[in-house]
Amino acid sequence: MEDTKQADAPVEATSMLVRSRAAFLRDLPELLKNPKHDRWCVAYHGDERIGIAKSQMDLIRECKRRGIPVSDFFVGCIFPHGEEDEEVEFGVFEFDDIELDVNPDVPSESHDL
Amino acid sequence: VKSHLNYHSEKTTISVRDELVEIKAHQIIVWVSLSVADIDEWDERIPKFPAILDIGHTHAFALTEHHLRKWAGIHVSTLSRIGTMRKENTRAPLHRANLWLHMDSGPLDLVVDNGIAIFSEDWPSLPILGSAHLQKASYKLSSTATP
Repeated sequence: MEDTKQADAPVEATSMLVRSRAAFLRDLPELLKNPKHDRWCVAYHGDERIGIAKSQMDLIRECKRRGIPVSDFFVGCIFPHGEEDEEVEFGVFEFDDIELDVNPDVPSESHDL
Repeated sequence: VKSHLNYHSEKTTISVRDELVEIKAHQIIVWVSLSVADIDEWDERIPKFPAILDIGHTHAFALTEHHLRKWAGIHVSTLSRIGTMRKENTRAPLHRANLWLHMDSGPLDLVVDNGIAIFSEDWPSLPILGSAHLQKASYKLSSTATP
């Protein structure tokens, strides 16, 4: 499967995908009110809600059955989402071969990261 | 959904396709798969590759273009860009994809609706699975260190 889907230009989100995602975020506060749907998935095509299901795969199948291009529908997960521009924390720091100080009062010259 | 994870107290290597990949001591490795967003069921032909489980990473998933191409077999240009994520004043593009976490019971679709972060440079050294979507998947894990 390596490099099987090359393309010349980056794929930008279609305006319909953007609309679909916006509809999901618009409806999310209302969807969150029903605890039954906690962490279920919901699919939108533009402003139209295609359905709510436990499995994202069921919704993708339904969108495909309706002939909706993958570039146009959005499947979101029903859980509290952060703000659009919320800052992300990168947690991972990797340490190689940590060198301990021979004399704790005199730091060694370098510690590799 | 439960899974049991092992990690090692010394540096190890694992084989990913035709590469030997170094795993640092104490890194918890999970196996994941990525597919384009229109895949509607798990397909055994979708490649599996390792990711560091990092619960300090508050987004869903991050990897480099190199990992994406070599290990997932996907070119970044085929994944729709749906936004950016921000770390202080640095931004990274978020792309739409399906992410699968391989559990004891089989692959679990994590529903990464905020997209995955794809970096064009050398960071991260291995793909990173963050905490955001583990919560969504009600994922419970236990881990054991192997000397």
